[in-house]
Amino acid sequence: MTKERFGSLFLIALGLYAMVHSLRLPMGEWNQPGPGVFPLILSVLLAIIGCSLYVVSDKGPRLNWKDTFFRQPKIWAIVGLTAGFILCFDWLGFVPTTALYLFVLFFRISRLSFIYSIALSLGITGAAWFFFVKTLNLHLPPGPWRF
Amino acid sequence: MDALVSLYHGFENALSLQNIYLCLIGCLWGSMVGVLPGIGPLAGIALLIPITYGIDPTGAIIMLAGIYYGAMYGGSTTSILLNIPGESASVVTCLDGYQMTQRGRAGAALFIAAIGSWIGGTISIVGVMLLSPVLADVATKFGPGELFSLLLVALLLLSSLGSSSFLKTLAMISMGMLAGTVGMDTLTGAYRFTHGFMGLYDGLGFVPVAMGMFGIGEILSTTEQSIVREVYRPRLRELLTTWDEFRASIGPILRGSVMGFFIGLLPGAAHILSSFMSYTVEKRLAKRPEEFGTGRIEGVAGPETANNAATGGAMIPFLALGIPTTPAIAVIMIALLIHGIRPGPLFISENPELFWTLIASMYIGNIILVLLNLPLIGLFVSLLRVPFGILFPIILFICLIGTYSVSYNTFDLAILLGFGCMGYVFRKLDYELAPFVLAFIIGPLIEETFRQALMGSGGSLAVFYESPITFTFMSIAAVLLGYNIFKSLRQSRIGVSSTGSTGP
Amino acid sequence: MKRNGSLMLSVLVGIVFLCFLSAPGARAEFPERPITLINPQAPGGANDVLARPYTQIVEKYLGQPVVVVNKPGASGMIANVAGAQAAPDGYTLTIGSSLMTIVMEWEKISGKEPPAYISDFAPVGVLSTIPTVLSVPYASPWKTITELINEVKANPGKYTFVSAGLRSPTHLGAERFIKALGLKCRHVPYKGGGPALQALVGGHGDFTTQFSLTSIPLHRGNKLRILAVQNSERLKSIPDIPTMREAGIQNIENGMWLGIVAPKNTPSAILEKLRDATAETVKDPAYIQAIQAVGEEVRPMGGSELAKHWALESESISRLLKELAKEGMK
Repeated sequence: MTKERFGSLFLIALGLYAMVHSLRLPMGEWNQPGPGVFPLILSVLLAIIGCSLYVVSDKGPRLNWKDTFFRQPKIWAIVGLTAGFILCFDWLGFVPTTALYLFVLFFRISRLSFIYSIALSLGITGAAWFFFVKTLNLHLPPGPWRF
Repeated sequence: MDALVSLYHGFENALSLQNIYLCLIGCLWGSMVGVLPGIGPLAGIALLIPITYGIDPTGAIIMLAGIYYGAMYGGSTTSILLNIPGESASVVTCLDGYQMTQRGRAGAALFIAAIGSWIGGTISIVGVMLLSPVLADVATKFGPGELFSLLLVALLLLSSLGSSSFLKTLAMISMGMLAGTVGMDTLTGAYRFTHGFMGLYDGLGFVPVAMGMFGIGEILSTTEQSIVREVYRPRLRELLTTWDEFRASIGPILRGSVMGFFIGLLPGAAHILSSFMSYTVEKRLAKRPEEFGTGRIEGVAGPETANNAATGGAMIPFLALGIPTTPAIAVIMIALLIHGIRPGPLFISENPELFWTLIASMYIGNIILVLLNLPLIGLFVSLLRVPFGILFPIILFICLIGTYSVSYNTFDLAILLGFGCMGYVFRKLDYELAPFVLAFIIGPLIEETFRQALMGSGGSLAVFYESPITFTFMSIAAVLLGYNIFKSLRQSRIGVSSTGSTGP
Repeated sequence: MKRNGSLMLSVLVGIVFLCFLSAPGARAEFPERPITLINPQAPGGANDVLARPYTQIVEKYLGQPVVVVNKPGASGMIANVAGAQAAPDGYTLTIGSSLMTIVMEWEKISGKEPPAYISDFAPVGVLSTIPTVLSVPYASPWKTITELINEVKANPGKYTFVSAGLRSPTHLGAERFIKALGLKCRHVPYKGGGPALQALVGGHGDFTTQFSLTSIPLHRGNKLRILAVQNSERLKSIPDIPTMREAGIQNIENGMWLGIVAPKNTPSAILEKLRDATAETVKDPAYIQAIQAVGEEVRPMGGSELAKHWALESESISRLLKELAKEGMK
């Protein structure tokens, strides 16, 4: 499958999903277009664009599935770590989550040395704490240890 | 020459040691929150309100206004250096600004952005000073019908923005507008695409969407290439614009100032609309429009000037009528209320001293900002020397905190990550992101004004061509549409086979 | 919510532990650490105008500072849920208002079980109430409320009114007026009071009911004309404008109260302490001065008074919303 074709299939799928969803919304009347009208027009348009892209895209570079999406340990690791950050943020609190997140990124992804990673992540966490919590006065989750 | 005498007294007040100091603090703080992605002028002003309690009202408004226009100066920095828009108004700056950075002209882009901001800001203050009451009445003439016709022009210009294939740009625009419909419909209260998630009731926020697609997406695709990005060491000579670049920027700066000021008057997305309109106008006027998007300095100078000029325009309905048309101005108004000053139509005549001191302080503030920003260019550019392995975790972290600080909700962080992954996939497939983000902002406004206009007119379409304003914009839209159709027909005759290989 | 539960548990365990450490034997007086006040708006929202002076002055009576935490989103529902589910120890309070009533009643009417309801809260006190006023563009031919009513009655469906948003207090104010007289008008909602007022001043609507606070400066500056006040008595700042009742329309008073509410199971001793401190604060000359500078009249209510008012308000809002839902509001 070509790259363009993959994209066009994605557009068609998104268009169909939005079409099904917007058809369930009220369409209103001529003088009061309902909430469903705009999403419906857009989703139909999207599906049409997807179809026309599908038709014209039989040539062009092929999509390398494995290399683009699956053999990307770094990208998966970053996405996974960020998801972990989001899950722990409210629960562990701002300071521990940040320090841990930055440390793993520095140590595992950027391959910095252990000591350097610890120093950097602690330093940045401290600076961020001073800046965001003390200076900007943002209400970041304190976590069970209240800091 | 009453105005000159009043202005002279205004300068006398504004040049007091305390007021200069407050103006400086406001501008410094504004630049800082402007540079930080996510934390915009809105939060910047809101966070400083408590500090103003101990100051007199004049000082307070000088400081808060300083944050407002200061944030517009800083907004371009991350767009140019990292391809992450600091403010919604700087999305357009990413297009050519980041390309300039990749070609080693980051310093020049930042330099012209600062100079353009200064000129745009100053010209718009002249407008505020001389034309406030007149233009405030003009601004109220823009009802839903008029706004819709203007936004339609913007939408048509948007379709010609992309440098890759027309169909793909159109796909991104429809998708962006579709993303904009998520959440509670403002006119009927129906929930669209929320699937029961409370975090989606208010719709997708600009910050998670834009920072996800640009910021996180950029990091994911750069990481894939190589963790050790080429380290670039600019020399001092390269920090400045060349004479040719400077000459090319004069036109965009002057046009951007005027356009930005007038678009700033309109309610809704004045800042982003002004920068984006300026970009597309420059692209249309350019001798080689196909070079836009590859790092043309006009594509930085015009929009950055325009969004600063829009700050002046946006203050007019507030100063002359007491009606805030942007969220950041609404916060300034709340702060003034807390200080016991009630903005309204009589504000200028009842508080002439306050008004003229504010005007004078804005002239001073713009000079402070340009003096502050120019020396910082070297510092910002040297940020590019930080190894990517150290820089990218920090950028990720700032994106996360910036997003969280908008509404203190972890759900927004999930949206940020989701759009980050989407941004990565779209990059892989050679789809351009800017049309998506711009359509995401303009789309809901188009829908809202269209439906409001029909609701107000009782279903009569006359509301879209009756008044001279709507008629003018509708005619422009018709001409643009005709031109676009003509162009795409001609292109398709030349050959369809090029669709597959376009895009960088 | 499970995670929240365990978080709360760990916090509680921590608090119990701290109590043992600090005060063996004697139980300390209630506010021994800062109190959190959840604000359902983003920083810099309209709530700040009233909440800021309150938090500054109430410290004097409570002996502990009150820290505002903003939890905007989902029309205030996120804050309401957080406030209702907070530990009922008096240390987490919420800013309650008519907006809260509207959101919760609407959830009920649209067939959903509201995740937080009025019965989940114990009222502490009202900081102020703001009435809405009915106004028309300055260029409008209508000089009195009667002229407006006659003209709109004669032309059903011809005139439009603008509001600050669907189901906002400014929308409901106009609907009360329309329903009481059996009028027919078209509604055009805008995003917020600023855009709505700008549209009215520009003549893009025929009338609106907006808060007195934002309308009066425009009335004074001859940009719009206030015809009637939706309040039980005339306003001190515009004494020449009649109330709706004087114009012969009964029971369409409308406005917004803003106050403090606590979780429902808060111990009565703690609740009384909070109520007393709030009542003292709104009587404080410094507070009254701060509110009057804004152009607001302080009309405070105590905790029990608010409970009564809240019940009445929720009933009347529920009735109005049900009627609107029948007409097809989603």
